[in-house]
Amino acid sequence: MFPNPKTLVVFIFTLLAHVVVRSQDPVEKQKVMIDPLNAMGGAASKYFDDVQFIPLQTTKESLFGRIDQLFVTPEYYVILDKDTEAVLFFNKDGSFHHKVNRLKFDRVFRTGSNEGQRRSIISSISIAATGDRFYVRSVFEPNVLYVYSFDGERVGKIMLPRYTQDYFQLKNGYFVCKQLRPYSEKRINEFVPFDISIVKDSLSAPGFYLPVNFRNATLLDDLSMHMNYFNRGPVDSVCLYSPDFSYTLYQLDAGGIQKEIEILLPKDLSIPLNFDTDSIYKGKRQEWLKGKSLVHCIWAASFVKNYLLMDLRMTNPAAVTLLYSPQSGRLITLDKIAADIKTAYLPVSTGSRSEMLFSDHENIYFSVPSVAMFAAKEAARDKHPVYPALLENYFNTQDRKSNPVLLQLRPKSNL
Amino acid sequence: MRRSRFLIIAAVLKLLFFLPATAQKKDTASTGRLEGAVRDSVHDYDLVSATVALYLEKDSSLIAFRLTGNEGEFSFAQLPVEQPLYLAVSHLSYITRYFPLLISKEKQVLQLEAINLVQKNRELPTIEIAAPPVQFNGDTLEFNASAFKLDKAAQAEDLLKMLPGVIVWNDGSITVNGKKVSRVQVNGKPFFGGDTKVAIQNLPKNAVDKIQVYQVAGSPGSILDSLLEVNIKLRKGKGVGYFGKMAAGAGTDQHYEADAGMNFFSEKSQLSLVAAANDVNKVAKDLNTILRNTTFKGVGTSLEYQPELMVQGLHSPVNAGVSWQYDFTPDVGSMKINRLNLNYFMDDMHESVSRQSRSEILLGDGVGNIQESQSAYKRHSSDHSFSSKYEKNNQLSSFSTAVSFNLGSLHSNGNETTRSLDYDNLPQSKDVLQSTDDSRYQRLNWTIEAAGRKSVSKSHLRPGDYQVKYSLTLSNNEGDRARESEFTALKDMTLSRHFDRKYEEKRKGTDQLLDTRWGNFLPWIVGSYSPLARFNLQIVNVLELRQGRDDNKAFDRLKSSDDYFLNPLLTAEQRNTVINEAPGISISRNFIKSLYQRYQKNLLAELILQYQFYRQKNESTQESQRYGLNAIKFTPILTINYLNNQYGAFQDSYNWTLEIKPDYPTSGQMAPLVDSINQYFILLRNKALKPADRYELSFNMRHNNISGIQPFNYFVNLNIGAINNPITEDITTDSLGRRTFRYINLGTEKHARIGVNMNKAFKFNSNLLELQLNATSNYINRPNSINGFANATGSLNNTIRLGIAYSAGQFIALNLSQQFYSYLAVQKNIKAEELRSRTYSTILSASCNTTSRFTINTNVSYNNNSGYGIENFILWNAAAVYRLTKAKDWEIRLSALDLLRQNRGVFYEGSNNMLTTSTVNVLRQYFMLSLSYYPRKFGRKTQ
Repeated sequence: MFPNPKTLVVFIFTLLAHVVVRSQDPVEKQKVMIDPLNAMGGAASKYFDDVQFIPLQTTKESLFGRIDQLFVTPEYYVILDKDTEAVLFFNKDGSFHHKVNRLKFDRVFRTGSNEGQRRSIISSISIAATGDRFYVRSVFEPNVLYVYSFDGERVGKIMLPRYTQDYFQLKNGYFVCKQLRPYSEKRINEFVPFDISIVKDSLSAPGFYLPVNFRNATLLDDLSMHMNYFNRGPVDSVCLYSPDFSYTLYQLDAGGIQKEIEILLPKDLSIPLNFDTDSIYKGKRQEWLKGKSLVHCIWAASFVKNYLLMDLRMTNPAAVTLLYSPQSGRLITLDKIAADIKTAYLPVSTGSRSEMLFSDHENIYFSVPSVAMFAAKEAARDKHPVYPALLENYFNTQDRKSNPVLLQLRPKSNL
Repeated sequence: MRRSRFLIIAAVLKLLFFLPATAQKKDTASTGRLEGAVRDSVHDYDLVSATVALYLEKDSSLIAFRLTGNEGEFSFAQLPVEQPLYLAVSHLSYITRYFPLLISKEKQVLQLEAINLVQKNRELPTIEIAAPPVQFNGDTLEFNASAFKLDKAAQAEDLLKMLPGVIVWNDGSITVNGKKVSRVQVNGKPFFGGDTKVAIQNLPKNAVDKIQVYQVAGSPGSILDSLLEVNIKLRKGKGVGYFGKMAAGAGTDQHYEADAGMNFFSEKSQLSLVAAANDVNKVAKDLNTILRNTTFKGVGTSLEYQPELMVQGLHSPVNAGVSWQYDFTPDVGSMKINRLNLNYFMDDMHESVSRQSRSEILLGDGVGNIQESQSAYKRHSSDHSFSSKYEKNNQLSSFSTAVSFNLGSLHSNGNETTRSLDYDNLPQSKDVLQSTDDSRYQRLNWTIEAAGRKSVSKSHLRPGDYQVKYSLTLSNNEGDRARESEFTALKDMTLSRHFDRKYEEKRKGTDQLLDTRWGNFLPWIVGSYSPLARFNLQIVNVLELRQGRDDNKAFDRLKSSDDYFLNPLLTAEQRNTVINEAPGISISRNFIKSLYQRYQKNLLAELILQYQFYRQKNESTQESQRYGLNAIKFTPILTINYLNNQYGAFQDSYNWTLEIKPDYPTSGQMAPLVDSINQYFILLRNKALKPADRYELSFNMRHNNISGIQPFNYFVNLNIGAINNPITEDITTDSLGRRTFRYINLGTEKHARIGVNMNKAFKFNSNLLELQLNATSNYINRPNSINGFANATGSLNNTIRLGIAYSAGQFIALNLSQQFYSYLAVQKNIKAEELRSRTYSTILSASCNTTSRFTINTNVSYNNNSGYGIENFILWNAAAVYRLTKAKDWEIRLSALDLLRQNRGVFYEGSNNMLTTSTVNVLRQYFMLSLSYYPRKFGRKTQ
């Protein structure tokens, strides 16, 4: 009598993974103690070398809804707008370059919603490690990456492991993948008992990391929605993984876990230890969190210059964006930065500013809707601000319905 | 998306607080100015949305308050000088700080150093000495009642009126920044029937902890994305109590009035008891009318449930009622309800109406007929209504069942003398009618409704969404009528008639209606990902079954005899059965176009393709009443709803409906028993009547400006339609003025109606100015037959009301309105003059609180009416109200109605070739002294 093939596959994966885990070197661990509610604010000129507002040109062709994802390449600002199902390319001065909105998938997908709200077919995009292509994932095939050149031509297709929820491509081409948690206990045999897999390409066998026992761990129906598990690490060959219901950040490279950064928060803001895996919370995690003002996850974490940039999610306030300097121990809240002459008295923290959209080695990017830009201009009239030519032109020619304005902040060194 | 939308709403809400100060009390020398900023200097940032409140030191009364701006800044203007003040600065996470201030005459602009707040210790609970006036708590804007110093007898409405951006309109509706509040809840639940007025005019400000303003998601079937709600959160321990009113008054001419309403509430239960009696035309149609008008706040300039001086006749009602609501789930959310309602209402009414009327009836060029009549009737009706409703809702399903039982009786007797004259005012005939009616009825209605929809994750599975509504109505009517008529034909006495007739009438009815919807079928048929699955396909079916059984008997007595004998022509047993089965399919599609943080446009279109299979069968012991009517009609309905929500600017909604539906003739139109007792109205049979085809297009549009704090909204509705072969009248008038009517199918009727409602408000400090325009215009071109000539009557009916209302805090409220009514009828084929009538009314009402205890109300209307022998008149009413005791829970009211003793009742009624102008007896001058007591207790212990 042969065992169930699914069970056999899981057994083999488990065996292989144990080999991989066992073969890893001891992982470097670091502890960072922060109190988000005691983070420092201040005037923009105190923390930033450079503040730029980059209006994204509004034409009939370039008009878009929201910035669902932003990538900054040497040439372009690349924007995914799910409202218009388009990937838009803007030059570095904000002028519109082109857009790609006719994406070809192997199957013709339809969104079957009869509620009227058009569901986007595209679930996410990312820029390939080579820097000249982008990947597109659809909501229907989460483990398939369609490869497109910047001018919109489909040039390939990459298969990621089954049930991939999120991924990150390292500079060396490896993909770090986060597996979706099972929908219910009945289906756990279809999943490998690890959260992370790292794979070179479609043909290679993946390495598995961070084992998980689905019998006790949080399943999909008890998780908060999280869409930004991976971000850039201190170098391009490393990424940072921020899991659900945990304050540990994992630095991952092609070889696996390179470093663990444990974020220690004050007790009154913390969820219990092992909240993700303790069986006493099984199926009740969302209920338990109701009415409590706790940090339930680190939504995104990355390195800018040598600072750790974190977006924490909690109940009230809903999100806190922090910049932490390991050298000085200084913790800065990017939600409490005051407008000053450096920002032409335009808001960098308030006024419906977006969540953090992107960060690279030098800069942090947000966006501000035009309706808020014009309201801020009106509010700062008494201060007689002098706007750069680009902004002056924007205020003279655009209105509240125009495309949003990108906000680029470059932190000072030695904060 | 939802969060971002809220941010914009929150930003608009916050903008309010940077505008001129909301001063509650102002010194005459209010010229001081104060500026400053609030910071957390430890963490080096400006504190946004911190609450800054200014109080007078002598009595801690709130002068003004603000939320700080994006840079922690705040400023106040028009502050009292040379008066000690103090400033309270607070924030959710910080320790509140207080600063004494004095603005001197010499330096009237006070610029403060940055105010630094220090964070609270998060580990230790902090006891706040005073709550700030306003704060954001997550997505909810909260106003703390304790921060607002008002009169001890102030109500929640007084508090609401003080809040920036909040307008309590003259008609009782509430808007916050131009957006209408969909409902006001108390502790998260509807309060005594859900009427806003009952909640905000009865709850004392001192029992209120917070006024919370927040957005909730619209209902699943609605295309409106969110609704604005206000919740009045009561202070701890105040969720239990009672309130009410007991009032009695006596007046000149033996007039009297008394009303009482008591309301008891707890966390789960609400009980209302009401009773009322008067002889001054204060007519309440239900329990809620009495509840709305027995509030602690009083009626102000409202004209509802007032002594109705303009209503026809004299009415003396006695009412009593009880209502009980029980929430099995005390913590009620908008999508989770488990509630039982039981209601009883009794209406016992004595009416006395005497009328003089003159009708002009056109028959052709220079040919016509005048009917003059004088009538006097007394009626006594008694109605009892029981109703109960149970509802249980959750996110995916709803269930409700309701039972109502009505019973009542009517007794009336009266006499009417009618004279018919020709155009030269020469009498043609005369009729003297004595009548007596006694009738009784019982009606039982049961409805059950259930609806369910699948969760999104199961939407691809078999069609599981459903809506079912079933109603059953059993009715029983019995009546005895007696008529004695003496018709005298002055031109030809042989045509004179005498009738002495009694009627025994019984009617039993059983009506059933089953309305069902089932679907969506498309994902199941074509697959979830097919383009067709973007549509919604449902099966719809309406089945209507009506059975009526009439047993009519008539007895005549000859002048020469004392006995009544059966009149076989007016005696019949009749059974009418209607089956109307309407199966169909509904195809709908919802389109949403949105641009993030700029606009959202929704278009919902539904086409129902439906056939009606109609069958009516009338069986009777009288051959002349037997008939059958079968019809198959295509009855499609197209509805389109469009919503254009431009964030931060305006919200427009448009609705179109296009439908084709038949008008089926009734047995009363096709085969009545022809009774000639009223020689001026003899209804004949026409069993050849056919269903008419009605085509209706209706459109309405609503605009709400949400860009500023001065709201502007308007509502326009338009209806145009045509009826092919409408069921209309064939009227024959003879040389004696006798008229026969017969329903016929004739020509095409065309009609149009337009209505406009426009409101604009200006709120500055505690002053409110409202401009209102209401206008309706009706045009109908209706075919008819006049003395055998095919005719058509084109009539135009206009009603326009332009109003301006002004209120200054709680001190004065003025309401000035101009009303215009006109009627014009033109006969298209018979050559005849136009029929016209019109009324102008100018109404001024005012309410003035000379002190916090003494109020004077008055209203004056000047009425100018057209018509034969109608004079202009002025109706002037006034009342002085004084509140006694410290709690102001006793009230003395002296009312003077119709001070000039000029009141008249003038009414117009026009149809086809006839225009009737009537003068009716109305309530005339009287004075009344009344005493009211408002028992109230909020919380377990008496305040």
